[in-house]
Amino acid sequence: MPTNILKNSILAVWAVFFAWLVSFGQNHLARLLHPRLWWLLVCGAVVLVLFLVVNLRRAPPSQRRISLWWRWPSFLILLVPILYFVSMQKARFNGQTFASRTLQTETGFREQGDIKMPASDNPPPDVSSSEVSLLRLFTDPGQYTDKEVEVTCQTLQDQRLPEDLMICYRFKISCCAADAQPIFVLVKKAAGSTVIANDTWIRVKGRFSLSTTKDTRGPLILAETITTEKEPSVPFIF
Amino acid sequence: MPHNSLIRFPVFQPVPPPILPCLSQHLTWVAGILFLVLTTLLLFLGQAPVWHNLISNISINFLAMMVEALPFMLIGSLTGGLIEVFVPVAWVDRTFRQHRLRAVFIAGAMGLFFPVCECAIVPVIRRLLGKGVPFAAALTFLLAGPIVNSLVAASTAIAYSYDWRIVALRLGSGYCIAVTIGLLLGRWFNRENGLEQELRGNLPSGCGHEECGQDHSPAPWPDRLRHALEHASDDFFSVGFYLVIGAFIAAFVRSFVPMDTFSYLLATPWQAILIMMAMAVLLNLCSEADAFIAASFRGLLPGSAQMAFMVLGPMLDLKLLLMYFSVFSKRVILALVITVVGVVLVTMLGLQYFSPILF
Repeated sequence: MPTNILKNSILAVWAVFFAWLVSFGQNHLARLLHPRLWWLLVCGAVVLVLFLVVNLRRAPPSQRRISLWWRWPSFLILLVPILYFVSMQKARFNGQTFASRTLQTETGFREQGDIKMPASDNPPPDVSSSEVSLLRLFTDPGQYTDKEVEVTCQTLQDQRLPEDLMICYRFKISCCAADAQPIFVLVKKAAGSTVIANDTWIRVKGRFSLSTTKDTRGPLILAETITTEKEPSVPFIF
Repeated sequence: MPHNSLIRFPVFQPVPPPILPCLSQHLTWVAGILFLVLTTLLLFLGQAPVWHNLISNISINFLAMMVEALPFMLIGSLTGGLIEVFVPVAWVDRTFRQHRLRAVFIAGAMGLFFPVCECAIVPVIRRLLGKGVPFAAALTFLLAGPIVNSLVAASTAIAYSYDWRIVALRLGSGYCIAVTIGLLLGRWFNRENGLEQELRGNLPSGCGHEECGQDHSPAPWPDRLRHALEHASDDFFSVGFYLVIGAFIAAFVRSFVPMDTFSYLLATPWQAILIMMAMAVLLNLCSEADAFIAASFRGLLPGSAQMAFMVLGPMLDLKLLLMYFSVFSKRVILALVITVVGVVLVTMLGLQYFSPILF
C-alpha cells in the first residue's frame, strides 16, 4: 500500500509537471526545449495518466515483491529533476557558459567555423521585420555585408579584446538546452559609449562587415545605437 | 450433499512476505542513497556564489535532458508492455524455431515492427525465451531491438536535424553488429549452458501476469491492455531512476568540462571513440534519448565517436549489465561484454578511417 501511494504520487507529480510546462509554464519550457517538441510532453503526460489510472485500480500483488525499504531511493530519485526545477527557474546561460562552449585563444575567441550551421527557414518568433537573426548573420554573412542590420543579443566584454570591441552572443539549440552552442558577432562601440555589464540583453543597430581582429574571427557590427532590452520570451535561436 | 451444490467460501489470501534483496539490490540501494545525498548537497551548494554558475548550468542541462528523454522512455515502456501481452506464441514458434539461422537475421530487424526500449528489452527477452525463441536469435534481438526500431530512428532524426545518413548508419551498424555477435555467441552458448541457473528449463512469464500468453483461454482485450499498462508502469519504475542518474552525470560533464578539452580529442579519433564508449556504459541512457546527448557533442567530437556512443549504449551499459544477470549465466555475460565492446570499437574505427566522408 505505501509503495502504491508513493508510485502514484510520483506519476501524478510528473504528469502535472508536464501538463503545466505545456500550458502555463511555456516561458520555462522555452528555456529547456525546442518549441517544435511540445508534443513530447503531451505524449509523456498522457502515458503517465494511463499508468496512474491503472495503478489506482490495481489489485494487491499476488507474488512476492521487494519491500519498500529497499526500493524507496530508486523512487525518490525520480523526483530529483523536479527538485532541480526550483533552481532552474532563475538559472540562465551566461558569459561563463559562452566561454566554456567556445574555442578560446590567448588573444580572444575563435568562431566555430568547423560546425555546420544550416540556415534556419523559420526565423525566431521575436524577430521584427527590421531585425536580422544572429544565426542568419553567422550562416549567410555575404548577404548582409555593408548593410545596416539590427540584432538582439547578450553582451560579453572580455579583457583579451580591445576596449571598443565587445561580443554579442546568443545560443543556438537543435533539440534542448543541453546541446546549446554559442553564436556571436563582434560589436565595435562608438567612442565614449557607456560600459555595459556582461550578459545584458541589448539591441544593436549598425553596419555589418566581415572584419576580423587579431585572433578573434567573426562577423563585425559597427554600432550606431545600442539599447538595452528585456530578455526575449524565447532566448535561444534555431 | 451433492458436489455441484457445494458453496465456495472466500479464502483469505494474505499478502506474501517480501523477497529479501540480493547483493546487486543492496548495492543499488547504497548507490541510490549516495546519489540523493550528492544531488541535494549540490543544490544547496548552488546558493554560494562560487558554485552558483556551475549548479545553474547543471540545472538547465539536467532539466532539458529529462524533459526531452523521459517521454521517450515512457513511450518505450508502453510499447514493451504491449509486446509482452499481445505478441502471440504461435507466431514466435513459426517464425523462429523452424529456421534457426534465418531466425537470427529476422531477430535483428524485429525491432522495426516491435519497437522496444532497452529498459523493457530484458523482460521481453525472458518472455521470448519462454516462448521457445532460439538462444542466438534472442541474443540478437536483445542487442538490436533497442537500436533497430522506428522510435529510435525518429528520435535520432530529430536529434540530428533530420540527417538521414546518421539514422541509416546507426540502424545499419546496430543491425550488423547485433547479427555478428548473435551468430558468434550462438555457436558456443545455448539454452542449456547460457541461461542463469534458476531459469534453465523453467522460464516464467516475463511479466508475472497470469493472463499473459501461456494459458489457453486468453483474457478479454481490455484486461490484457490493463496488464500491458501495469507491466509498462513496473518497467518505468524499475529503470526510470537509471535515466535520472545518467542524465545528471551527462549534465554535469556538459557543464563542468569546457569545450577546449574536447577539442584536444578531436585530433585523436580513436581516443574520442574509446571515451564516448566509456561514457555510453556509464550514463545508462535510454536508446531513444541518447541520440540527443550524442548530438550535443556535435562539433566537439568526431562523428564516429558519437556513433559509438549511440550504438554501444543500448547494447551495454551498467543498468543492462545488472539486468543481464537475471537471465544469462556469468560466462555468457563476460563473453557478451568482450564481444560487444570489441566489435563496436573495430566497426567505429573502420568507419572513421575508411569512410570519414559519411560524417
